[in-house]
Amino acid sequence: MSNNFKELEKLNIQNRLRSTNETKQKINANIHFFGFVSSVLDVYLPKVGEVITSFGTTASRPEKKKYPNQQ
Amino acid sequence: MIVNLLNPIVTNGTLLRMSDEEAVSLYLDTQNVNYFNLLYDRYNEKVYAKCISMLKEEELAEDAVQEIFVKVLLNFSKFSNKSKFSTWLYSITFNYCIDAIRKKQKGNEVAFDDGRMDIEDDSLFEAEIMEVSVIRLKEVLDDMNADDKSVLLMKYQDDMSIRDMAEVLNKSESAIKMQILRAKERFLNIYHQKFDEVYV
Repeated sequence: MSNNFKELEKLNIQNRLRSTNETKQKINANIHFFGFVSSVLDVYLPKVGEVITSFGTTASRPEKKKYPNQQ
Repeated sequence: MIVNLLNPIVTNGTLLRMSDEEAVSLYLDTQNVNYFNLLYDRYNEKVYAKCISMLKEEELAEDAVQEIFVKVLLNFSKFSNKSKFSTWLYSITFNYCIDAIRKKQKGNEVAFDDGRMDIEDDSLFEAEIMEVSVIRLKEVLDDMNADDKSVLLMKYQDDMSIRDMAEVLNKSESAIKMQILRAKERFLNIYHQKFDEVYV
């Protein structure tokens, strides 16, 4: 018995207008973007953490008087 | 994670012989896009055929292919070797399309429905459905709701087992069997309403 569901699948593939490479290029562009974002995060996220912790430590430090002899 | 774009590592011949599951595992180990491209080349046409059958519009189907493969890429680490890669990919494809259709329709189901026929012999459905021409098949599928269409495509286009379908749709096997039966009934109802001059 012929299976026209499979024939329909072939027909849909034959009628596809856009080239498969076009979509592949867009996906690869996404991969590059994700790679770029993740490497930026790899480099800068620890630094952001350091900055946040340094804010915390400076906030808890007692404020130095500009003119210690002044009342 | 830094994507390695320059290192082909393996020759084309080795790539071609590689199983899908090996390609996934090597992609996770190396982040080499060649492994992803291999899977894309193997499956993009089949994914597109499903998307166009489900979504009916060329542009929507192409966007869906792109988003599905990006989703696959981002979820490679969640792929477990319990099922075949193709089953996992098709589950993402069908679930994506069903969600997209539901969002578009916002709960409105298809006009043709509910003329239940109560035929007990399932094989009669099967024989009749198999005789429908490709053009009419497309027209009938276009008028079906997303759930019915997806089970028929899984069964007849992808030859998926009931067990795999249950996994893909997150339902029990008996629920899937019932869903297939109802989908066949509704398929024939729509078919007869569209193409029979006198429908009794």
